[in-house]
Amino acid sequence: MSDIDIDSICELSCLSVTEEQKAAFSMQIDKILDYMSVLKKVKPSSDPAFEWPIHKDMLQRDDNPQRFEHPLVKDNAPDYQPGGFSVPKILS
Amino acid sequence: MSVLKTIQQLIHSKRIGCEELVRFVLNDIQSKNPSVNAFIEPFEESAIAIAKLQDDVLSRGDDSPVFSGIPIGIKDNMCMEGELVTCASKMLQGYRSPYTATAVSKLMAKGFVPIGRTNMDEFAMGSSNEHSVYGAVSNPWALDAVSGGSSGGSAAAVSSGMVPVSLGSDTGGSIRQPASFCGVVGLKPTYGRVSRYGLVAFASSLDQIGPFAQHVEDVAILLEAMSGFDGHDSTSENRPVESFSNQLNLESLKGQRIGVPNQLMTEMISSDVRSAISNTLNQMEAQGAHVEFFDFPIVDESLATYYIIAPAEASSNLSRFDGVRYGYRNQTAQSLKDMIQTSRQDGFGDEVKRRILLGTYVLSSGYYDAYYGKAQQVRGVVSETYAKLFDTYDLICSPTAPTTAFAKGAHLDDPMTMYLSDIATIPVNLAGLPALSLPCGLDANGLPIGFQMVGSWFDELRLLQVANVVEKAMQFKPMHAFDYEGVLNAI
Repeated sequence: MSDIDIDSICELSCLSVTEEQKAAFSMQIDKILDYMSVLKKVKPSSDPAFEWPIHKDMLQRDDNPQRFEHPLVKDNAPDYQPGGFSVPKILS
Repeated sequence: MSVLKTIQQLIHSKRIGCEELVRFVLNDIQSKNPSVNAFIEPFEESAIAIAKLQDDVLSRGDDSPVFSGIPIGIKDNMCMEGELVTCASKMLQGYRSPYTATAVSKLMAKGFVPIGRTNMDEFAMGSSNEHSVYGAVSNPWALDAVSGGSSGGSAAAVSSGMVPVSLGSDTGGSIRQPASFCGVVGLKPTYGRVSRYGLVAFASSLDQIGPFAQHVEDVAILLEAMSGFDGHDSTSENRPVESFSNQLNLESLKGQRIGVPNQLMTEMISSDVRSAISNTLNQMEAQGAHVEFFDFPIVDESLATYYIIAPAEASSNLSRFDGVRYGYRNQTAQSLKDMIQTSRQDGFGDEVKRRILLGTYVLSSGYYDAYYGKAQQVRGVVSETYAKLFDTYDLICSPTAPTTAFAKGAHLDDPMTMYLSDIATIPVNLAGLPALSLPCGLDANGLPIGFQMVGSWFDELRLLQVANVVEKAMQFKPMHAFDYEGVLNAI
């Protein structure tokens, strides 16, 4: 029996999976999480968490996005309408 | 031993035309690919157009790029403007890239011709290349065995002699493990050495683009051509690009200090693999290297850390695939939420879904500190451990994989066993180090064995120099060398 609330994780992941898949994924993820118990024996109290240095002078940063124009940007969309991407209604 | 330099001489001496070479390779792909499935799609039109332009430049006697006309396979997760890029997923079927990846454009500036997109595990998640919407890749050494993954198509394309070189990406061993299984050389550069701009992200803090070839010198040529700072990648390292290929000729390994982790030479590693690695280490000693074994007690911890961090990053990176702006959309859904959920259900394969769910779980409220937070701390420990080891050793050597290529289907229902095939390669990605897999022998079934060499950060030059010496000593014979003589006979 799995400890994972697979329905909740599917909801958070925006994935709708079948009951059969839910059972298989729960069992497999349990086995993977069991393996992760080896981390408990590592005591990294004096070591800092790992971080990559991010350059501050980059051209493309989330706080200074560059505009990118190309016809393929709209051609790749499943349903592009002038002015935006069309999607089904949000509220029923 | 450089195939690239031989072809370059044939082209610049006008014994072969660029278009002739490209057409020869396209024909070769057409005849060999059905049994191997290394290529998803050749770039027939664009490759011939580029080659024609290069022939024009060469015939005018103008300065032409040094590697004009040489075909290269591109893994299906790197963008090339106007061409399809799908990450071997239904989710991205029909997607055409609006721009070209920096690594690819740098190679094109040197004259390389992208000849087609190579097969891979979906979104680079896998170690066997069986998780592809285009079907599994076969190992050219034994067609019923896997090629390794996730860059199995790129490795098999070089191993089968379809192309002289190719590009792959390595997040936890996805260049080195298929290189080992297919008997070719594969290099994962230091994180930050090669721009990731235009590489579809799997786990951004681990992903790195790297080359495949049949010889170390050709891997050095490709690394040199595609390295360098890129302002479009916020983790690109700003440092001069060394001339790797002109500095390979070490006379011996005298003075090289080689460390070998005890934990990667235990019975977990198959006896044939251990025997070939021991033989290679003996060759290194005979060349003057000092070889020493050491304890590396964080092997299992590295694997566990990786399978927290990589799925966590993947669950975030792949959230953009929602059927709105690009990719597959379920057309029957009646609401936005339903459309997103069903598009992702239909569009992603099982391995991708498994990792998205795992990543979401380890990032979710109540579990974040126990899993993701802890994993980031352990990643710091792994990096520190390597930093200390490189005070003592110049290179760390081990098997690339615990076994040779396994049979197709052998581990498909047991993801944990599949993940264990990356146990020797994963610690390297956590620390962002450069590493190379070199073929070093065959097992009892005639399948290739890979020898992994890991260098310190940005010490690719030493890695390539030592690998070049070992390659010459081992005299490994490729399964199918790239047939440039066949080109001469065909024209």
